[in-house]
Amino acid sequence: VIKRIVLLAVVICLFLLPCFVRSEYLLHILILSGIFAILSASWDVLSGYTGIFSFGHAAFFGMGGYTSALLSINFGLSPWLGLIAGGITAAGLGCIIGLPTLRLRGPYVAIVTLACAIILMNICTNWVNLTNGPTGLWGIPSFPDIKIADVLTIDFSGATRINHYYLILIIMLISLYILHRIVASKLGLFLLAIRENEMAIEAMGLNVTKYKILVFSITSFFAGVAGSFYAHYIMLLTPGEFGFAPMVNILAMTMLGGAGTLLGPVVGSFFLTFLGEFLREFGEYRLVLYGLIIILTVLFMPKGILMWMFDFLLRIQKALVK
Amino acid sequence: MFNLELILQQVVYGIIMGSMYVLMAVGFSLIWGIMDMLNFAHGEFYMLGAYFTYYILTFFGINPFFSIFLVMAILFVVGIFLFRLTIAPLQNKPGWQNNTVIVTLGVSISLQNLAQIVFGERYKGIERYFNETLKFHGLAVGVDRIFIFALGLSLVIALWIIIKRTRVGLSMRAISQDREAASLMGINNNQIYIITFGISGALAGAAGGLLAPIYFIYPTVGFMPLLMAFVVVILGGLGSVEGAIYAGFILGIIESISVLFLSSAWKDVVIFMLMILVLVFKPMGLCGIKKV
Repeated sequence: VIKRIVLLAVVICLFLLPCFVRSEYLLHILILSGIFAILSASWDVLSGYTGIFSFGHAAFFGMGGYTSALLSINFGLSPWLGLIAGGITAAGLGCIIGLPTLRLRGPYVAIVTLACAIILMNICTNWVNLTNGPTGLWGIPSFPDIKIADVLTIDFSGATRINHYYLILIIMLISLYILHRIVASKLGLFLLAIRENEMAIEAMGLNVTKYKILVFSITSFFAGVAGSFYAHYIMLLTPGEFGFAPMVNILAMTMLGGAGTLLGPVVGSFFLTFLGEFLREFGEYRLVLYGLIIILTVLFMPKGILMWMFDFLLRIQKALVK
Repeated sequence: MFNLELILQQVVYGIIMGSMYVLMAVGFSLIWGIMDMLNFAHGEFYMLGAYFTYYILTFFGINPFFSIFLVMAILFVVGIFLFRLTIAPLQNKPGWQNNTVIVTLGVSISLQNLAQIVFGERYKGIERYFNETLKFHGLAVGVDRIFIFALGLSLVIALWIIIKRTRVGLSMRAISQDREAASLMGINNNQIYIITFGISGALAGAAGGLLAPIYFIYPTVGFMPLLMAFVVVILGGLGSVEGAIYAGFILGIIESISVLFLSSAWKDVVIFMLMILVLVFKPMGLCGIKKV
């Protein structure tokens, strides 16, 4: 019960935040945290729950972004539909990438998915006609304004970031809710069982292949949606979006927050995104400190930040009861 | 265009590059097999090796042969430090595999950026170790490449002897088979871990130092060698040193031949496609042992 109250309080705080925070810069960081929260939470379902250690999650992110951006530039598709289209192509890609990894386990899955991501990155870099190559795709249209009967206009033209913030907040909450429902359902139980003992579950007569492909496409759908939002928010995409660097972020956020908890990755995303921006003050030492703080966090909270916070709350509770 | 000589030439270059991949990969593979963790800071051993070689050669002008051994000694110590400071505290705590991944990623980020501050972000290069070229029936191979190959190969053979013929190697193999049983037989696991990390660092440092005259040196130079080590180890089968040796040479040859037929921009695509294909048919790699 306490968990739910805390959770509700956090959500309300997130919704009320723009009333107090007027800084566009801070909003920008919050938006980026939201995008990463979707990415790492969906990756957590794949890796933390199912035990498929994929290193290709950033590829789905890039795929969603490029699909949506190219469709809106070349065919004038509305970015709102682009969000869905990006998600669907990413899910399709997830099926394709999922196939060769079916018989593999652990680090083998990691390298195959990473290889797929790098192949995509290379295609993106070398297919200059379509993707503009390494210079990146720019001039991606922003989200069109929403007009509700001439009374209310929600514009995304860039004058303020508040509307983007609410949009990503809503997308994030919906994604987390759906992911939570999946994890809490029977399907989630199967996924956990696959992680614990694939042989046993296969012997029970369940179709492991089906579930693996399913979880691959579901999680990549969310990554695709996040990528598509990112494309229309930043309005610039480069092949680097597919690569190893964003994957490292997703990985670090999920594991620092606590793998296999769904909320942990969200906490991790906010923590690391803010940390990265906060450390800008230190100039060239920024990333050195960033790495050091990651190391120290792991050394002192080996169970993840979320679990550490729970333990901390429990201790306070005990102290109060005494 | 594709005459036999050209292909042969590329094969020779491929074998030479392959020996470097093997050097990178066996260290990565040893750490996986013995400690059950992936070391994402492995590329940084390479980077440090290259930088140390650069500074030793430009400031002290020692013979390249000795400088490589000096660099290996330094990297041996660096590896031990890394283990002591970041990996050892995580032992016997939950989430070992996840935590070691993030810790080594953190080390990698820190070291790369520290290198950028300390060594500067300008590309550095050193002169070739030797300038002569050997010609043999139309094949031309630089003496420096032969030097690289000879040293790389002898290091791999030395490691092979250590693993198969010495007590330390016996302990290593015992731990990789069953950690608890090995420890019950009186093996000091911690000591072996330290030695493993040291050896792995020294070998990657040697690869960095040997390749320094051929490629430029910059702070993020370690990424490709890390990726290649990963590919080689997976192709060969995790934890199998023999597999890593085969796979390293095969990969080197395939890579240099594919450059002949395709532009080098698609080189990585070819390698990764092939790797995926191999894994589809042999999910445990070429010589993988099934680990439960």
